[in-house]
Amino acid sequence: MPSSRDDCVRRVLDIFEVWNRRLHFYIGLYLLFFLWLFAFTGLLLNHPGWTFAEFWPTRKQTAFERAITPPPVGPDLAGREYPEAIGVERRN
Amino acid sequence: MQRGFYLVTRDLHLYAGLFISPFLVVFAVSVFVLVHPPGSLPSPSAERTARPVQNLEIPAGLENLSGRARIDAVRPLLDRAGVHGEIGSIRYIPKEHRLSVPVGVPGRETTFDLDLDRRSATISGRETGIWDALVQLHKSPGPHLAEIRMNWIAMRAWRWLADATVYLLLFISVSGIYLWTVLRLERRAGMAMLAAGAVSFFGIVYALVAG
Repeated sequence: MPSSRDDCVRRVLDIFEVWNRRLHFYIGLYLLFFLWLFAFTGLLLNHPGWTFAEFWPTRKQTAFERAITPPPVGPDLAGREYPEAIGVERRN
Repeated sequence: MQRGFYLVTRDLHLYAGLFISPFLVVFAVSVFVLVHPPGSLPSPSAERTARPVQNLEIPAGLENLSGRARIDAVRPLLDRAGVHGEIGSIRYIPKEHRLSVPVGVPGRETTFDLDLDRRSATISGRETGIWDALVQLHKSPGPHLAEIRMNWIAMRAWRWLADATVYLLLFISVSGIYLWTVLRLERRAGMAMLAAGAVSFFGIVYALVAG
């Protein structure tokens, strides 16, 4: 005859199994689109010859000239101010 | 019929998941090193003592070859010297009439310095550590050096397994959706999680692309 201790252990294991199963569903469904993105881009990275994913032949290039205000000379210039000087937003 | 399909799908879902789990662990652990690189990657390594190899039978005109042909010509020399691994971009130094051949194995970098005049080579290398090995596996084969890469049989096998991991992962996700839809009790909560995931995903993509 099972003891109350065995019943308790069984109950805990049952609860764990139910929640383990639920979390398996929930986390899988929540991350589904992220998973597909990383899986698909992983394939694209490993197969650069796949023509449908080539961007170079269908690229759109733009070039323009614009007058700029030279930024003040400083010790740590390193071209950081130039994007703002020509009106291009810089993202870090 | 439908029950049979369910059982087969469930078993395939389980077995495919078990098969790819070690590969997923490699990709999952290495991504942390990629996203949060430690300061000293590749890890401080033990330089291995350089050793010479003499009397190599160097194919005529080796220095004039390029791309895959050069890799194929160098491979027997490496085999004879006991150097194994994926050959990288070979550098020819005309003034010294020398070829520098980088050979990589996850966690180990070897340079096979081939002196074409003396028909000898110097082999040097270093250990780069387990984390660098995982990162290399994560990034292999990758988009670079498409003409010459996968010239080592183990790396070719890894490419197949990396691809298989992705295809099986896609199968697992689709079969998982099917298995979830069969469970009526979990539909409402599952739909909520799916919707939350979709909002998070498309939200962050929109923020990154259009923001």
